[in-house]
Amino acid sequence: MVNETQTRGLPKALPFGRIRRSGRPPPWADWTLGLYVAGVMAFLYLPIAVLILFSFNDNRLLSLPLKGFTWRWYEAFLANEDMLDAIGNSLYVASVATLITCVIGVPAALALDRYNFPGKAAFRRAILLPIALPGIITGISMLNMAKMMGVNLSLETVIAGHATALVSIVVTQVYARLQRFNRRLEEASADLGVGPFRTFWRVTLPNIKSAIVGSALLSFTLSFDEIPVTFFLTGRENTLPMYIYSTLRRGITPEINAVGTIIILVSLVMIVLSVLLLRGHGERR
Amino acid sequence: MSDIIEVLGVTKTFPGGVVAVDDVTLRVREGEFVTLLGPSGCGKTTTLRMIAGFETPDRGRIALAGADVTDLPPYRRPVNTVFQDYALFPNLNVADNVGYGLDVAGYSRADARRRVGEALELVGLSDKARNRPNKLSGGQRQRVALARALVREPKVLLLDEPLSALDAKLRESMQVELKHLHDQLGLTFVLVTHDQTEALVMSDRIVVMNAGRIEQEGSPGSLYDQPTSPYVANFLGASNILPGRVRDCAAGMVSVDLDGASLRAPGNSLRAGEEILICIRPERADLHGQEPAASEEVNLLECRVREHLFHGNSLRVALECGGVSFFVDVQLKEAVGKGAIPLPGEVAWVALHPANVILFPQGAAP
Amino acid sequence: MTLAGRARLRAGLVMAPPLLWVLVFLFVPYLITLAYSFYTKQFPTFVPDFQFGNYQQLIDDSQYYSVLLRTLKIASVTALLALLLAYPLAYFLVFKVRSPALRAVLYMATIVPLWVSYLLRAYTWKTILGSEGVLNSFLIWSGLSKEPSEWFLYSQFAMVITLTYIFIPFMVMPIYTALEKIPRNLVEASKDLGVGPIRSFLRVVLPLSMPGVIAGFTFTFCLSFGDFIAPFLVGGPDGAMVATIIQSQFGSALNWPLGSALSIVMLLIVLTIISLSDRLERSGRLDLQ
Repeated sequence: MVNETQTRGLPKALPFGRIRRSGRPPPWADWTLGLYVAGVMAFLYLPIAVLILFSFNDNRLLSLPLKGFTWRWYEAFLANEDMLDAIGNSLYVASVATLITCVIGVPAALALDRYNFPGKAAFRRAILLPIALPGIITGISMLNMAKMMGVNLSLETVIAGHATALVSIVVTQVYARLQRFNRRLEEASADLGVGPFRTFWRVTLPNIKSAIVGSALLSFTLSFDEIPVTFFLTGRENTLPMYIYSTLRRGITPEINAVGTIIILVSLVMIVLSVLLLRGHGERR
Repeated sequence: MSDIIEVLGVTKTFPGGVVAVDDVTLRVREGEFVTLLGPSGCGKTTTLRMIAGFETPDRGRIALAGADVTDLPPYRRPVNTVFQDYALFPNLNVADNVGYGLDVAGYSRADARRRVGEALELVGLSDKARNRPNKLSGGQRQRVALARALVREPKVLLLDEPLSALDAKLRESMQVELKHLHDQLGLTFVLVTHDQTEALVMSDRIVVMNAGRIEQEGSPGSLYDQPTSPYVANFLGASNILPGRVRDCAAGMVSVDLDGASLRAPGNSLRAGEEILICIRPERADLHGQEPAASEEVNLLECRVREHLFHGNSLRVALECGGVSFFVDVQLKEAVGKGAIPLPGEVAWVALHPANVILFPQGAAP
Repeated sequence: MTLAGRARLRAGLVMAPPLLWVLVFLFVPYLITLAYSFYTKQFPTFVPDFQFGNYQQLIDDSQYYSVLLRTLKIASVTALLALLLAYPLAYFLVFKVRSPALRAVLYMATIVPLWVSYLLRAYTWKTILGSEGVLNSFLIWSGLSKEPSEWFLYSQFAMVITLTYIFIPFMVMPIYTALEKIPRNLVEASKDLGVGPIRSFLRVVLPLSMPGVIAGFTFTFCLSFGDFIAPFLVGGPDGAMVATIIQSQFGSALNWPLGSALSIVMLLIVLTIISLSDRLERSGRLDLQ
């Protein structure tokens, strides 16, 4: 009796036979998609492969066929004083700029996460703007300020520019981690008699540490490679990308491929590390 | 005994204009187990958080052990909290969680270690001291949170829905355990919960809250037997709340009209013709298949049975009396098998002692 | 001090450095640039003034108009191409790769090389597309072509390829995130209700991933819109973009006021696009909970 009333609303037989097995697309669809994706991956990786390959090719011209293996472009770059100076400058700029992005970015993320203050929306927009803003605008406007203030261009103006352009990376990553952070833990700490300053060191910081380190690595890598902002703010000293940029005016040489290969390998390590820190750690909880 | 917690005329409004707590005054005696009970959004958690110091009241004062703490931050207040999600530090092991903050409180390391050991023993987790919280079961985390809150010997223990994350079986045994712990330590407990069973089982006193105000407070028994509003009657235990009209009122007895049927109940100062709400506890009514002998003392309602709902230890019988629907619970211990329970469609008689009929003036509608 | 007072003091101390930094290094420079855009050029520098001559010049001289149009075109085509490449990739990673570990590795493999040196990635395209470059020498070596083609390098085609290559991570990431957020049971429900895979995609997955598409499009568009490295390396004579013109005003042309005016125009265009996409994203965002 119960069964009868339950099925009364539905047609006697569902048209199961007529419904295509819609859960499974035809096999060629998956294959086409897979091939297309493989093509996109090739597009992403071939240029890097070419860069690395030609750094070992024994030919001044970057053209096929390959002529044989050589270390000479690496030797040339290691003997190039100007380039080594530029690397030193880049390391200096990237280190200090990264330090500043953390010192500014972590409090900014904290402020966005937990405080309400007048102008918060404008502050958020302004500090996050450089992510989507072409670097040239940051570069030009800070160049204009330096001009108005009578400040001479130097590696320090480059540092200010990089910190301003890259602080958004630290802010977004740390903010995202803070949003996932359980505020009850801070309350528990206060409840157990520990004041706000120590609570930050003992509870908050350990929980956002990997996001800070991850975004710091990322911002270091990006600062090391930065060019649109640097272009307008550097004085007589060159950073490495600026040095490469200026040699490109004169023509391309495999020496650039050699230094490029090294930059890419070092960046790869740092980026993999930073991505691991930014993703994995927080999810383990 | 003196009042260890005094919440005096406290109001808290959240950004956006939501009045979470509205002029609440609450006093808790030393050693008492008080439960703040109500649905989410009634202000019970905000009240607790103001006692702990996580929220600052807009108006009113809060005193702990005779000292005004309204302007003290949480880390200067002699209370400790067991959080709803336990809030155990994921980067510290169990012993370090329990010992957290003891150094700041000025304990020597040896002293702190001894106290942590004692606290873990109290909750029966001595063997888990080196484990990380994420390696523990829900019940074990609960105990760690308890040990961590007790190790500092607070004057008051605050519990914010501490059992809500546990499954039903574990929750029941933890209720008993918490009650025993309270008796053993003689400490003041303030519990926040939306679970009426929890409140009834553990508390010395229940404070029912509604929309930021205290609706009624009293012992579990008095709240259950003498709710002063349909809201409380509904929240504690099951209730039939039925609309009725006063016929007459004399000598402490009221006669009410329930869609044609007549009920008598104790009551005063009600006017004839006044609309009222009638509250009947489903387990306080007796169900009969044959018309029982008429009695002056007992209300008798002739009904028709609509359906049976089997609850295991009891049977809920849905009834219709005139145009009114309600239900009564029959304990199955004696009734089952005797054929005494009328079947759906049959006529039944409900006998109801006037003392078990509670009347609320319509002004007290929920 | 009261509890609230102390909390306010603490908040103030936390907020002061970033607020100050934003004020000094973002608001003030923009304001100065705005001010400079009204100054008058006086070779070799410029003098304070308040006149609209620089903006007038941008309107009157059709050269700026055509560069602006070209830049908009190249940025749009770049964003579109990046979308066509990135969406199937992200979709494949989220819906077709079963193992979460493999998915994470592939996602990383997609994202990681793309954070690597912006200049070098533009540079490799120069070496690939050049007349004596890898592509031409490969075509001749393999016999597919007799003459090296000049057409690859120094063309709008080269710019679009290079810009797409540089900025595609900004497309992949938001789309991937948006797709990942779509509850699987919605897709299953759609198929359970007898809707085929293509229509399920069009009616469930695509609409729910639109916020990611919009965000990705905005990023790629704005960043390629303001780029001057790709035009320099692979652009050639007909490849000048707005940023190239700005760069030359601050360099060889020595006309800072005009360059500032052009920067302000670019800033306004970018801000308009960002706020438009913000609004679009918000109106399109559905609550998935």
